[in-house]
Amino acid sequence: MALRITVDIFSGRPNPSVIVTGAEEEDLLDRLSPPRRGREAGEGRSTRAPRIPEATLGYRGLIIERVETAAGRKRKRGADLPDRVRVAAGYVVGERSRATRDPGVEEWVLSPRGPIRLAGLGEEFSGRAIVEVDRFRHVIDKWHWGRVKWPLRKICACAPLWEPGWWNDAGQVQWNNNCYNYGTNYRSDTYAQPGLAAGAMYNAITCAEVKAGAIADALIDTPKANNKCPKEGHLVALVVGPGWDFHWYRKGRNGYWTHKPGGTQATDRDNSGNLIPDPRTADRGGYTDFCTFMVVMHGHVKIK
Amino acid sequence: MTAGVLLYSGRRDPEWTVPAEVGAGLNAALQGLPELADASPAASRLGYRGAWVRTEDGSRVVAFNGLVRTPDGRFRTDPGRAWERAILETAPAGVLPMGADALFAM
Repeated sequence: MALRITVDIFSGRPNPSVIVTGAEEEDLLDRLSPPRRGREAGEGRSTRAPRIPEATLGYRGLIIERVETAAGRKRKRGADLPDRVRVAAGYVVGERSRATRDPGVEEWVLSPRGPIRLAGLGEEFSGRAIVEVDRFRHVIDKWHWGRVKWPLRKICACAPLWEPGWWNDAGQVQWNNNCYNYGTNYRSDTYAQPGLAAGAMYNAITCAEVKAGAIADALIDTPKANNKCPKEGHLVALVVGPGWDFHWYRKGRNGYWTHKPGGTQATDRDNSGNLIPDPRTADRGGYTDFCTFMVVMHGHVKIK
Repeated sequence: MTAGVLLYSGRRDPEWTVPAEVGAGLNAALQGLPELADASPAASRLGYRGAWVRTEDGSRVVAFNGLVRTPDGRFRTDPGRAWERAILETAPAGVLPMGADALFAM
């Protein structure tokens, strides 16, 4: 008989593996055997193995397998071990979980003079692997076994897709659709103006005038939205530089805001190059006045 | 030839017609600008974002902050923003809300 030891440590590379025989195999089986009563059992050390998370990155234990050799024979020592067993944190885990006689058996295997030397990976690997053994013990201690609520819902499930390539074609779409088109997710190719389609275009660049135009286009004023997505439709925000220009942002599915400054490209950045979690606090250049949040109900809005 | 600026976001940007002889001069000056092997367009932002001229096929050449982007996606350098300034200077009085220096400072 012989034992194959595989260090379950890598994710992409093949895990290192060595085969031990003879005295080293005997030594390993002795270290893996159950602790005798008393001192070997260790004070405060449970005889039952803790639950071991297997799907983690980094060291996840040693896999010990019996392999037949030409001169193979059954040995008494280690007879209680299954043909394939995982050893982690000083325990044999799995079907017949229990503590190992040597709680440091993994460190012994991975030490520069231990069986792992046969893999020829050098002392650097040994050093890193032993650090990983200790790290994995902390992982086991802190592992959250409770049910984790999976975030199935996107923050703003009804919001338009962030697909800048569609708007930023450097041609017909990009040049002829402005922030209002982008905000409402409505390509008109007319550089749309709030209220124009309803015959109620703004008369001055003020929050009140531009908002009234947008309401005439069927946007819904929601001043108390407070950056929260509506249950239906998507959220937009109106800002103005009084007497200068107006501008619109729209909230995306990930909760961040994007916008399209005029005929230039749609972007997810503000004037300081930062992502935009809230247009009220974004760097808006000369668009100093935050007017309101509004909701665009898909299919309801008509702009021109 | 038509020229314009990228300035507003919601309102329509100012555009104007450039007399043919002035346009020919802009074209000649453009051809004299050094080509760049590699460059990235300026990030989209609020405020002044450049001046442009529309070529015969309807596509635009945009100048901003020392770079000129031609419709084929290539770039030329515009030392001292001279070509960008030359476009702005073709605007009739009253079309632009401020002069070139004020726009460049935005």
